[in-house]
Amino acid sequence: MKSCYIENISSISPQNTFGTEEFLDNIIERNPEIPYLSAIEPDYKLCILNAGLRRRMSHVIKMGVAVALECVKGSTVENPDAIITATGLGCLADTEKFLNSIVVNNEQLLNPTAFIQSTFNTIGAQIALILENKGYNFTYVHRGFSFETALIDAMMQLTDDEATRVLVGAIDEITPSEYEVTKRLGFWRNGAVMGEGAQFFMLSSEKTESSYAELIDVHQFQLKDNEKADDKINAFLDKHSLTMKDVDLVVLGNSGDKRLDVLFQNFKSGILANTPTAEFKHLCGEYHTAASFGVWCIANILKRQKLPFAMHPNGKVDKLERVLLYNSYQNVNHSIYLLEAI
Amino acid sequence: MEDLIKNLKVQLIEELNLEDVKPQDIDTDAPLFGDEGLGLDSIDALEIILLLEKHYGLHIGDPKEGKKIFYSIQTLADFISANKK
Amino acid sequence: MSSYVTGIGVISAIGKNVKENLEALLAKRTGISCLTLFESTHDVPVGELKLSNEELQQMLGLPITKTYSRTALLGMVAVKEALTDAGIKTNSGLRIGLISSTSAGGMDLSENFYKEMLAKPNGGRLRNVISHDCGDSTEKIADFVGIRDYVTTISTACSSSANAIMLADRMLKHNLLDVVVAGGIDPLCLFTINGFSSLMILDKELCRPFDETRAGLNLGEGAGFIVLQREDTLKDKKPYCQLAGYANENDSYHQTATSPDGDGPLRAMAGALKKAGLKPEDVDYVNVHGTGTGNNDQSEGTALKRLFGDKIPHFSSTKVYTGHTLGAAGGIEAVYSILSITQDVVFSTYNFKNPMTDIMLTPVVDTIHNAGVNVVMSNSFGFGGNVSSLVFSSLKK
Repeated sequence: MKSCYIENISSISPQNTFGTEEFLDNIIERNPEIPYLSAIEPDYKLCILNAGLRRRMSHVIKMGVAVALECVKGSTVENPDAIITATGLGCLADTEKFLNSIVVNNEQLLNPTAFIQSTFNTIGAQIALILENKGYNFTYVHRGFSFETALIDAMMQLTDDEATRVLVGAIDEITPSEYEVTKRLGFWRNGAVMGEGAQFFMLSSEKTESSYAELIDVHQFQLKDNEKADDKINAFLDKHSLTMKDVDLVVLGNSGDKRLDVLFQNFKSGILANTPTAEFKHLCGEYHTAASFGVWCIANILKRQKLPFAMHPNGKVDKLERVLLYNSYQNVNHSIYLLEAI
Repeated sequence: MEDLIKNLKVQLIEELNLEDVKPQDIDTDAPLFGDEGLGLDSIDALEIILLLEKHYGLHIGDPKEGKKIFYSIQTLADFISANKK
Repeated sequence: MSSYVTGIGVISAIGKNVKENLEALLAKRTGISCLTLFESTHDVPVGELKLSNEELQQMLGLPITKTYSRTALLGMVAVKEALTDAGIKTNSGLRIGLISSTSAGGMDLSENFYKEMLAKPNGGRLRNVISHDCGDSTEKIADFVGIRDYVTTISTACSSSANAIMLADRMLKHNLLDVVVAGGIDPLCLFTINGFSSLMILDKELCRPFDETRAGLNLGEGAGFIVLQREDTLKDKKPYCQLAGYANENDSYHQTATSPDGDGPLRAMAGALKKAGLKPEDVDYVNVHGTGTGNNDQSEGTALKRLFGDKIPHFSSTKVYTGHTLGAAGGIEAVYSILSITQDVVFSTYNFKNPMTDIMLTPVVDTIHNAGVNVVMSNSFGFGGNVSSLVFSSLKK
């Protein structure tokens, strides 16, 4: 599996990230009356011009489609060879709407649009419809591995010359019910904050002038038996004949959960003791595909050669050429990314 | 009939989420489906079947039956008038 | 370099393992019957596995006190069978992955949770919602069989498990894994029965794929998984066949309907053959998607004619036995396609009577033994224009 280039990026998130040249210049704090981080969204009528399709789109589909179209617009091709999407929970609002009609109307007067829109691959499908894209179209739905598998799939296709441009995106939304359920499950009890967003990347096998960064490798894993995260990081770097000394910055996916963040505290005092670090989840919130926001940040960091204060940098940064991302979802799904400046 | 046609246009806009379309924009005799007129598709046909059941208590068992009935607002209104209980 | 199929596992309305499924297919015995698993106002025939969740848990040796989604349970049965069939021990030092797929995830449990949640504040038992997401069943199955190296889940509606098999091949080829169990699962649940009912594409009788009088599909449930390996890990094992080729394309025509000229399906089938280095005339049998809906069969039939011309190979839809198992269809039908090669048999669409007047294609109606099957194509077409085709070939090819 060869490395590839991130040709273009786009994002809708709880920060000011869509349709702007800014890169986290000002942090948008959570509205204290809302217990989660909601995305700041554009006027979709201006981004999704196909009114016929747009009228059926729920919030999550609009987010994903708008970001995807924006990403394609700023890339060197009009249409990618493949579209790969990732989502942890898919189109929840449509799912709930349809479930509602089953329960409240006793299985009568069912709304077909909500059912159709609830399928997990509907975002990828609608992007394909709008772009008239007839290529490969997969959707990954495995919790905190969804985005990682999407990237690995894309990299394999680029390596095999089955594609020269792959549009990869991650999307997850919040609904009030989902927040209530996850609250009951204890997800937000210890300091983590729920988030939502959509990030898309145009990956290419060719470097262009507008490329943001080189995506060297992605590794997803669970820690089994007595396996240690440190060993996984070292093995990952070793695979590329690197050690932590060769890494200029490590971006961490700590969620704010005091219990789960012990992992990251241990990194900082151990394996990362001499390496500058930064964080991103306080900006986007925690969700299955939040690592995509971390990658969006890193792509910006490497292209702009700037590490924003908003990312809570820690330690002296000498240069920004090689950046590692370590993410964990619920300390079950772990992933490591390696990106380099071009 | 005039009231029925007026209501139908409002209901259609609401149920099909036709953003930026006002009742006065809909030509009563123009085709609802295909590239002319409102450009509705097969999913909208299912939604209209639901609309007929929800608002008028009329049941269409086979979507294929709907083709003639759903041709235009006028044909829809005629169907409702003829069959409404 | 193709990967090799070394194990298969399946559970469906026609049997809880490969042997039972094969027997039913050969006996032309459908598994479509009345819904008994749960109550629904929709009186439609379904391909229901006549085993409750409790019975499945007992079969698997799982504690009754723990709650599992039906998705996880069906998957455990099929994955365990496939791994055992392949003779793979999960502590063998090989890097083993599980690539599963589903369209419903744990909805069989979470739809009950949701009902209770709507009824009162803090309603619903949390154990019924915690397995809602698609990845839950995959992780439970991996834990059950001891797969630790890699897990992931795909969801592309009815092409899901065919796509899982494609990803498996890719990962083997790139030496990211040595063995992959790939396939998919879907349970019957209120959500999907109501969903397809709202689309008005459910037949109130046994489905009639490719028949002029067809009136829709019957929903089914089940799981189908295959074990794929690279040649260098086979050692003395004799594989069943090769995964010769595959393709996933997008029809890009409509959110749910497939294009009337069969454009997407044609590209998927042609693409799979191209990847396999084979020509249309090399295909001995096509296990069609053949759901029995007006749209699919017309579109797929048109695509078959465009691809094969006058020389349409034997084809049949096995959904008349299992129903449309949605996310599991690609996996279950991959198992049947592999059986077609190993048993040298072409299964039938036994209730077919009237060819579609605008297409005039006739599927196999009587099982063909000693059929000379070396190359089988299996189609799976899903919502969102997601069209997939797999090609399996015997070791002779």
